Amino acid sequence: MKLASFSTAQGASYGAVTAKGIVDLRRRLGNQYSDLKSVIAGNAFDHAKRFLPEAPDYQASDVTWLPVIPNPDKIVCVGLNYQEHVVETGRENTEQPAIFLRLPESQVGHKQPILRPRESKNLDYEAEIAVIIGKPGRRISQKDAWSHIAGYSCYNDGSVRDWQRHTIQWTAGKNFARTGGFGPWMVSAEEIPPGTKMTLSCRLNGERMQHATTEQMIFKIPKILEYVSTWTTLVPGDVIVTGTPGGVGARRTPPIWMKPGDKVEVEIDKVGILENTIGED
Amino acid sequence: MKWLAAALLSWTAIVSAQPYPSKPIRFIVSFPPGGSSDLIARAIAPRMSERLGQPVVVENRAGAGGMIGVEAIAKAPPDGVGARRTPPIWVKPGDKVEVEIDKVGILENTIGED
Repeated sequence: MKLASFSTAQGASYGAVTAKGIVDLRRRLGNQYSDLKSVIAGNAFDHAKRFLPEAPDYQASDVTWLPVIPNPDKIVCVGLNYQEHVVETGRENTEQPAIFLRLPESQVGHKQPILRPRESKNLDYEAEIAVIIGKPGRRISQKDAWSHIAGYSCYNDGSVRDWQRHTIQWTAGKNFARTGGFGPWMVSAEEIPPGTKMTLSCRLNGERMQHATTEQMIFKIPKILEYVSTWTTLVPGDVIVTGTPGGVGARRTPPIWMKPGDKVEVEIDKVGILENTIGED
Repeated sequence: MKWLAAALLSWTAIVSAQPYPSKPIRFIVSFPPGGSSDLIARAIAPRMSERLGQPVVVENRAGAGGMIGVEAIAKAPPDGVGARRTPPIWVKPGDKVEVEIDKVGILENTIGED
């Protein structure tokens, strides 16, 4: 099942994306679940599934896509989780995953413009696999990790490189408003069994810039969940962004920066294609 | 060994601003003689002495998990000629920690266990 958040003239909603169109689930489940995060928290996927055969309320072109989870409690990102990217940044592998956080305001939905801030021209793409947490947990073991995952989505961890590098940590450059693409939807975990190999790509104006599979991750998904949940409680709707492969724009000669008018796509074979244009803030 | 290099470097920087130090240096080790802290301190001391042109005297002030040594340094006259090798201090369950800002107040927490 594909689940998405979006808005229409009637306001923010969420629904299931089917071959025929989008079934508005807020209209059907809104009394109990006000948003997609609460559907996940209520463990209500089976309930939602009953409405899949109904006639769709919208076509994709009728809605404004929102970040899959517009209001997560936290967005936890892994830096340097593919060897090629570690090498191109001139860094060394660490014993444990390098973690930083993004804020909800830094996200933007499918087909919405990623904004290049007026303070910088060094806007870069980072294709990543997002894991959405279902069952809450603290100190989750690797063995149990898969059972805490509600689904997967595409993420473009858009980064303002000069603001990422001008101090000793990355927070500023990773949190400009509307720089992180998240969508178009999440595919529920039941469709992607534990350990399934996924292929991740990034295209800028149609040209492939990044390409890797989950087998190339340095820290695999269970290890990331175990590490992060050691120090914080993962709750339903939390987003874990699992790192980007080599090929980022900043490390090319000369560097390639995303600029207004560009189109950037993040594709995960088992999920779909997240597409954003670049706008100006 | 990184620690050792850093210690020597920082002392070198000080030496260039003569005439400091003007008297012998007490090197306080918060563990008993023969331990790794003591051995490292005694390995460093002669080199420090050579560079600084002053005797460097290693003093063992062991006890209370290193706190005796820390206290010795805290109470030493602020004459700029103390050096120490001491472990970091970690708070532990049962400790009370206060953060005070004069115009604001005191934030008090105890340390518990998770």
